Amino acid sequence: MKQQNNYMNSYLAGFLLGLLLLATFVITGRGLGASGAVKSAVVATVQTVAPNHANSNEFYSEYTQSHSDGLLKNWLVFEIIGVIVGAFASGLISDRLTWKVEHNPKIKSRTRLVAALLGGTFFGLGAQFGRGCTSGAALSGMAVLSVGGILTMFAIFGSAYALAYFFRKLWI
Amino acid sequence: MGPLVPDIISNELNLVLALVIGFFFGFILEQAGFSSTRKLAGLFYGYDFTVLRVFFTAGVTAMIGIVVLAYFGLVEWDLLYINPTFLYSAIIGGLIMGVGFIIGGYCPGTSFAGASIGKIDAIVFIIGTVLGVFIFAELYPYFKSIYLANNYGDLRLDKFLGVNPGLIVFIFAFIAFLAFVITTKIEYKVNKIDISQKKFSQMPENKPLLFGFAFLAISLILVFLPTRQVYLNDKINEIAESNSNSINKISPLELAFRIVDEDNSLFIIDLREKTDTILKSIPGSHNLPYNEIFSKDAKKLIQNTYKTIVFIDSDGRLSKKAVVYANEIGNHRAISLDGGLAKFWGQFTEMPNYDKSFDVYGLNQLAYTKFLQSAPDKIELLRSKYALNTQSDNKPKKKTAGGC
Repeated sequence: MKQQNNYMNSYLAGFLLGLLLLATFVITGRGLGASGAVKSAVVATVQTVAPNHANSNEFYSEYTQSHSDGLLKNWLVFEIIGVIVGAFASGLISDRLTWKVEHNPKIKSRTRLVAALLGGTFFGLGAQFGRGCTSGAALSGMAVLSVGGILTMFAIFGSAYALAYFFRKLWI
Repeated sequence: MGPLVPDIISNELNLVLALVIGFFFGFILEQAGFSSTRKLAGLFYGYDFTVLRVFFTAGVTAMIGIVVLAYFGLVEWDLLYINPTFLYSAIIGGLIMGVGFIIGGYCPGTSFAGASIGKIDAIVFIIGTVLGVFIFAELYPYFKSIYLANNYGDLRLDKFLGVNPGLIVFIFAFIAFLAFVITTKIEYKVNKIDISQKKFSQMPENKPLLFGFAFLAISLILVFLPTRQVYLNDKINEIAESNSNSINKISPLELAFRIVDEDNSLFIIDLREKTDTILKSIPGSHNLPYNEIFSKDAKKLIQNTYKTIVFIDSDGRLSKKAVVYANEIGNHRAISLDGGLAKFWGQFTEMPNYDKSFDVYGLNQLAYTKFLQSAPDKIELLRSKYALNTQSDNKPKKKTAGGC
């Protein structure tokens, strides 16, 4: 815990992230992402647990058809596995590995967990409409000058700023 | 060249690369502090703008890289996954995600980074994300119309505004730079750190603002660079018009000989539009309109064929340019039909003029006249033989799938 705030300089981190994103585009033709992995996992789970239901719903069946190689044999699923390992390695070398519910001391940890669940739900839902999340739509979209990606980026940050005042007790 | 998938890197290897790329992605996110909601939420309350700095620096870096590589032809815009623009859905999705961001403190990528180092709230956030996707999936029939409304395809901002991509990069670099300067000041103010004694440049966090300056400088140059296509076109026009001696050409007569002779070493490319049928094409030729010779597949064909490419068009102007282009991309054996199809078909109807150069083929005037009289019929015979080949042999481009 001694080095808890010893984070990398943010411009350097951004520069490295930008190079990684660029390399990803040059190598694979696509950008980085995150919510797509969750989508694959959800579709795969529903396919396994309730195949009849999955086949009757357009969302699941279309996704399954377009991923004929297997739902989890998906670029983003592998990428996210990499993310988990990479972040763990980073936490390990910077001595930040610890189980905890991180929250504003002014709120209870249960409040934080409820907010996290709710926030995650909104994000998961929004990422479907946005066809990607902060990484897949906003960052990667911005890098290739996609109008949709840039609009989504402004909408994410705009709406978060607009609502910041109402949820300030969660954070400050 | 780029992207390397699927032509150079197989889809299986691509998945291994996904692991490696993901590793660095996660590592950088965690090192930047994105595993902590305290840091992420700082963006919205003014006490920590790390997110903005990392996000914009990354975005502008990648943007500059892509525009520069595309300019040098090292990566092809057409083959990149450009997030499609479904107008309403993109905005609604963003707004909903903003709600999720301010309540939950994470976004999906950062929640994975947080969960990896033991943040229980991040794990709960991921469970929430799963629920969100599930809700969308179950209610998809109700969302479908808005989800699919106003599809503008893979619309790029530079194309939409009709400007040079360099200008867009410059604008973003400029906004980012301004944002870096302003937010740093806000940050010190909110955190009540007295900066009146310090100069802006002395703050340790500001030194990397040099990045900002570098970005501005590079993107400023990009603004004035013509696009790769324009650059190539200019070069091609210049060479095609100036010293035509360096452009390999074939005379109509020699081509006629070699066609009648069924010379298999030639690969004849008809550069005219498919609709242009005023002049008959040459049997066995492949139609590839001039504008399409710049595509990735055509480029590969031109670079790799072991045959001698003969470019033909109606008057020999486009074919000259095509030869310059072929030379430019490494094929120095390509030749242009001198005078085009007009001269080629014309030679059979005009009164032959004896020309000394025919001696090269050991012909005398009589044989020459005879050949010209019989050639059209022979060529017509070949036409039916090659009929099946004359369709365009363009394959559709392989585009990488992407998105979330």
